Amino acid sequence: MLAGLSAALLAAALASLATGYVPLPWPELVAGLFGQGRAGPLVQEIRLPRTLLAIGVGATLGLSGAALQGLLRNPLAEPGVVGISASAGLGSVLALYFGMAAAWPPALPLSGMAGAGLAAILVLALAGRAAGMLSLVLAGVAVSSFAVALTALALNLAPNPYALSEMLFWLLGSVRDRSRDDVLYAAPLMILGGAMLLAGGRGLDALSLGEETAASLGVRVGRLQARVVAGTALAVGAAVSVAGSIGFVGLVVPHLLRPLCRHRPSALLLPSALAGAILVVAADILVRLVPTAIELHLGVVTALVGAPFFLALLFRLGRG
Amino acid sequence: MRSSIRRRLSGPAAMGAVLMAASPAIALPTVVSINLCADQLALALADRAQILAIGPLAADPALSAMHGEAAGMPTVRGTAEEVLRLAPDLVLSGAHQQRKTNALLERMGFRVMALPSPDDVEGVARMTVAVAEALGHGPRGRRLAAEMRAAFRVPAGPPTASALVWRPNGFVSGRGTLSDAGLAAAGLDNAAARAGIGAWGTMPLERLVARPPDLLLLEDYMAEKSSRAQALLVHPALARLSPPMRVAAVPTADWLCPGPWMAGAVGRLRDLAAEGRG
Amino acid sequence: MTPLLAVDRVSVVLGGRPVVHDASLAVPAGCLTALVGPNGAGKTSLLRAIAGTAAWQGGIRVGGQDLRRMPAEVRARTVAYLPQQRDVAWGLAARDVVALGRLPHRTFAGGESAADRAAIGRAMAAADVAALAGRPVDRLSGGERARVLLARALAQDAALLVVDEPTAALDPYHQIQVMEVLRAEADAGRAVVAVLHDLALAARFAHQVALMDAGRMVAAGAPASVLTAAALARVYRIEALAGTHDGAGWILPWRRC
Repeated sequence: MLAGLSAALLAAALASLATGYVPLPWPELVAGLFGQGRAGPLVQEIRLPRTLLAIGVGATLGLSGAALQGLLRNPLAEPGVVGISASAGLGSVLALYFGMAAAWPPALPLSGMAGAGLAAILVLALAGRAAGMLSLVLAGVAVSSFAVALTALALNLAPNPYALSEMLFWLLGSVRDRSRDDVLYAAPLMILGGAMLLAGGRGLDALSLGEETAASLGVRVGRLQARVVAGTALAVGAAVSVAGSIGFVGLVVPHLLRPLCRHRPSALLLPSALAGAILVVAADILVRLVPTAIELHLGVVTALVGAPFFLALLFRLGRG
Repeated sequence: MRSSIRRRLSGPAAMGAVLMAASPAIALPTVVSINLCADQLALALADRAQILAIGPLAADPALSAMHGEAAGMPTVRGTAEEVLRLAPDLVLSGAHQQRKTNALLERMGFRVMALPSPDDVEGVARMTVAVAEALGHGPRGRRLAAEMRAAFRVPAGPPTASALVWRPNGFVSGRGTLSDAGLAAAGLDNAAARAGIGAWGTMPLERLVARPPDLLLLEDYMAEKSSRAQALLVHPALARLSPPMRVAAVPTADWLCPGPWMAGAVGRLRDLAAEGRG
Repeated sequence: MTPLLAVDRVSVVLGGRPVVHDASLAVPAGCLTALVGPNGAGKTSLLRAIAGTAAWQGGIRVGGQDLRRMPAEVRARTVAYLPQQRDVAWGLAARDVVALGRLPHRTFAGGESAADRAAIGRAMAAADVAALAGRPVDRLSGGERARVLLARALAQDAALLVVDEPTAALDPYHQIQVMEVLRAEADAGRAVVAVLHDLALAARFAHQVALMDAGRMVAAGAPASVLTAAALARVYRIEALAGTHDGAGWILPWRRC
């Protein structure tokens, strides 16, 4: 399955590189990838960063969704549930609101990560070290509502209609026109956070038997929780701060893959990262192909697919 | 890195300039605009031949004061990729929504003018001149700026009536906004400024009913298309005022973006004020 | 000879309330000990302390080693714990659940070793769940699931096995089956401690019965010497019928007193 997903991701990435507003024949595209020929700047400065970010953001969302679902033993969990997405969004909106992002561009990603990190620390503090899963979910709900309220406050107090529309569009999510700098800010954190999540796989397996059994199997549950929440904060914070909020990827992807991984949380992690990347890259191809006056936002597309899926899942869980 | 990209990009363009050196008019900088307000400035200030592309909204009569000029112009969605393909000498953009695109284009060596949203006439005049100079049309820009300054001159004598510009959800333009300056120039007293509202705020319906202005100006992109919009926008409480308040529509396109076309918008406000007196 | 499990004056405080007070217990290798007592006597809390999942005061030594000083991985290879809670998240297959018992034996990067596979096979055969290997646990009956989870604990290959109410909610056939498995594990050389509510099963299968009441260890010893009429009246406030059959004692709670 990993080989299949990797091949599909490679195909999607190539399709993404070949999609755009300037028709490029394959030879020129390939030459451009290596900085050669007329298309060099276009491919290296515009399409490559865009594709890389779509991969990174999608992988981050799929992976953290799978890890959080394993940690919370809840198929409805995703970065949104523990309040990390909303807080990263709040951080970004504040950077835009106070004009920091205009004065010093790195302020936007940094403040998004700060928001995510703060949320993670708050969730851990609320839920405690030997926390039960329920308290973690409740802490996430509390943190997330608080972040949403503060975001609404910032939008409400927007200094002018232009700032308001900038913040609103930011929240809709997009990887349009991101530069190599954006990749350089976000990639190391996404990789570090992702590695922390991948390392927690076996602990997550043990957790499917409950916290007590996991502890008796030698898993340090408190440490595992801290690692998953911190890894999610790093990776999702970085992703949200470069691409805005893109929802439902972390929900849909692990759910579809779970039966293929024999329901083992550890076996689900890497495939979810790959499939999340495929999904976001495909959505990003779609927004460029749909002939709307202004490019559709990624978060809009993923929500249009994800929200009905979420509802269907709720119905099924409710009946079962 | 950056300079090498720019060199590669400007190669063909530079060659073009050498070939066309015989006719200096062609050597004017080319421009792509990726923002609605910038589109209108480009259309107002540049020669048609200079404009390689504008945004998709500039041709919408409900949003753009320059919609007539925009008709038939090539449009772009406003992505960096499109700009790169067109390789203009100048990119006109906005300071807010296009932040990422601006940064990317500047990184690749393009000259990007991210237009601010000035809130006074002097600021708009300065922006107009700056953009005009960048486009090689300094005299044109200065002439339009002077016309606009003249249009905004406040007439002698006290205001003839009070007026309020009312937008959906009760948003009004208070003191120190361009609408405020436009009302004053039309001899109208801005009721929002009188009510102590700053630059951008909302007027509670209750206060509007308690102290109605002589003239309620509905600014909505619907107002131009449908007379029913007026009825929809106004609360029943406003319809039952006695004596009834005079209601008129102001095209959104007049005031949505700051630029020299506001001179005409002030003229339309003057006509409305005169109708009230007649 | 030191017993495999030595519990020395152990106290457990839960939410500020002392639930186990100065309890002591010795369980040698090869001994199945039934931990009995009325509801709220502190049996589960004592079991959690022994499994290392609850904080305790006092001394617990397993195989001569201080449990408190054991790193979590070493403890997990020494003590296997089957809690009362039998929920399994996701639709894990029975064999995958049993394989989780090998987690403490796995190296950081390695997959299942031959020893792991052998232990899993042995545990599944002992608990009579080999036929269920590929079935998702969330589709199994209560009895099947209880045996799969027991096999998970057996696969841990620990010298000490502590199980909390392993027969709860099982029909008589499966109750007896589970008790036979525990007895066989003890006879094969492990120390087993099982919290039991069914005094009949305790009397029939255990080598030793430990009786707790109100957080204290009241008595420990051979079933017949602990589950006396006087002790049952004092601790449980019941009268019971008792006798012997096929050389083993039986007991039947009859009326309140």
